[in-house]
Amino acid sequence: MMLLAAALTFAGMLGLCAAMERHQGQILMAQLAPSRARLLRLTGWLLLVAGFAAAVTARGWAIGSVTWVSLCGAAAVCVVLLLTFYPRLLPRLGLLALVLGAAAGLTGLF
Amino acid sequence: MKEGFRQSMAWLHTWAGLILGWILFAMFLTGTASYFKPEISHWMQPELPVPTVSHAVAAENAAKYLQTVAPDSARWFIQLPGREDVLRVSWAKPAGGFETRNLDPATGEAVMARETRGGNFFYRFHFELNMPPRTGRWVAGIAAMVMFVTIISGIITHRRFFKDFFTFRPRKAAQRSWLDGHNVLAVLALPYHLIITYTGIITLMFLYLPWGAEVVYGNNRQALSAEVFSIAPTPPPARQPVQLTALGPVIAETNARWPDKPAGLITISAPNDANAMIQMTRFSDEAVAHDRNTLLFNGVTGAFLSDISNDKPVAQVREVLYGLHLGRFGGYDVRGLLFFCGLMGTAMVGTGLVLWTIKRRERAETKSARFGVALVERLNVATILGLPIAMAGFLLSNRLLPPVMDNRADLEVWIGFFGTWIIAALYALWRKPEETWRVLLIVAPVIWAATPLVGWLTTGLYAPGFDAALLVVAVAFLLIWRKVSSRRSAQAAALRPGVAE
Repeated sequence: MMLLAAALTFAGMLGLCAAMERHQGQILMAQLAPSRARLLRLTGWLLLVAGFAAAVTARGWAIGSVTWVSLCGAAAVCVVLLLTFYPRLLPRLGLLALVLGAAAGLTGLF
Repeated sequence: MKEGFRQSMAWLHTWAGLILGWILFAMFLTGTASYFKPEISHWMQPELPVPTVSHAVAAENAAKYLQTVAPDSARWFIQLPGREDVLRVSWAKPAGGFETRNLDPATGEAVMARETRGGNFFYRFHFELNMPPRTGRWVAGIAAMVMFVTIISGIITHRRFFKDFFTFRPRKAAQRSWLDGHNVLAVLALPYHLIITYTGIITLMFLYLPWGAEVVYGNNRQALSAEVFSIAPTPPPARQPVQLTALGPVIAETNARWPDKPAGLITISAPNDANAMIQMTRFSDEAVAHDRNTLLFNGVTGAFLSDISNDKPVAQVREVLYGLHLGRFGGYDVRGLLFFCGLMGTAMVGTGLVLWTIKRRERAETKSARFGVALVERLNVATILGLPIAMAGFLLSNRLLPPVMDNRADLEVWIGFFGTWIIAALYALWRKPEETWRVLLIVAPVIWAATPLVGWLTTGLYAPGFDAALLVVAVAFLLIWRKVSSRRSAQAAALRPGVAE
């Protein structure tokens, strides 16, 4: 469940990053229409909230909240490092994160 | 007006950060290491046996030991095996102070483990800086308050807070990429930095702002402790010798009341006296709040007296704030995350210090400005590389010093930690930074890798997880060295006249 929270938070941060004009060229190799960008940003926020829900489900309100805040920072750092050195990988990694996270959440392993 | 305000915040951020930067770097790094205080202590005493018996048996054995060595002491402490895997007893000495022993839980005999301060050294250094407690805590507290000011002024100064959120451009000019790095480290973990700094100050709030407590409680510190910290005020010895009750039934009743998590600490005041009291204490790690639950028992009859746990709102607020700073909640995954954020904070301070020199290196016109830049550059190397090298030196000395010797714990600190640091710092002050950065970046991975290797050679594969972590740090330093070397040789090649590569 915590792994699911991490994956959702990472995907959320990635969504927010890709929705920014400045980074679209790096990640998506194209500029998005403003409506598309807004949709991506909304998805990013929703994924972050879902990550929060997963964290709280895993560890309760107190520890879950604190952990999620730290997860947001760690996820954002991962996005920044990947964005700097391997930007083309990011869309695929985002999808991979969602798949792995869903698998972890469904099987209840982590 | 707005421009003026931002500029003065920038000035404040720069100078507050610089003057206390080196102390703050040390506090951040030793504090981050302290997330693993029990593991460090465990690694530094390889002679301790693995606990195999139940808490009840261990506690009875501990009490038997204390009866033989300190039957007339005013206070006994029995720390049961927990995260630190050790049975430890302490007792108050008649002349003042305490004596501590590690015991084998199965036999109740003292274990001769090498004398060391263990993880407690980094922990106390973090808020006392190896000074006398009051002085050190004042210095650390002022540094933390300045840190808080530095963070707020940094937020105000940072123009493109959201636009630059994910921006890191390492291939640009030095000043730009170091500033990007500093911003990313600061902004992405900003909630952590704010909370850790604020809760750090709050932890010692009764030292910095004692007057409220003095007005309400006067000199009666015991009453304050009882209300805020759930520490039971216990009566002094009545000077009437009475046999202490057996601990077994007390523990059994405690376990009945607390089926989910056992007591971790047993405090016996006035043992073998008519006023004997037994406190069973546990610290909850299923909540953020550093809750201290205590059950009070009569030490003569073993009868349950009361539950001292304090759930008054004010006390709870303090417990949560303290618990947030200690970060002892959750499992290893949560602690790993907090450790990572702590490293980000440490790097935030370090990159800030380096940024100060990069900004001014070219621009320094006057002699005093050039001296200032040279001094700061050298102090940066001495701290940013010297301190991690000293921390490894401390661990390494634990394995190199003979297990039995006088003043061993102090020697580990003075030779292993400060000795190493002074040598690295003197080197950093004496030679040019261009050279010292690279040389100390080779010394760092070597000493961090040597520590587990020497450990294997002297005590065998005792704590493989910890050893692996030390090697990871060594590899990290190696990678940084490679990065710095390749950048330096690229710069040198670019400066070489005429040669076409």
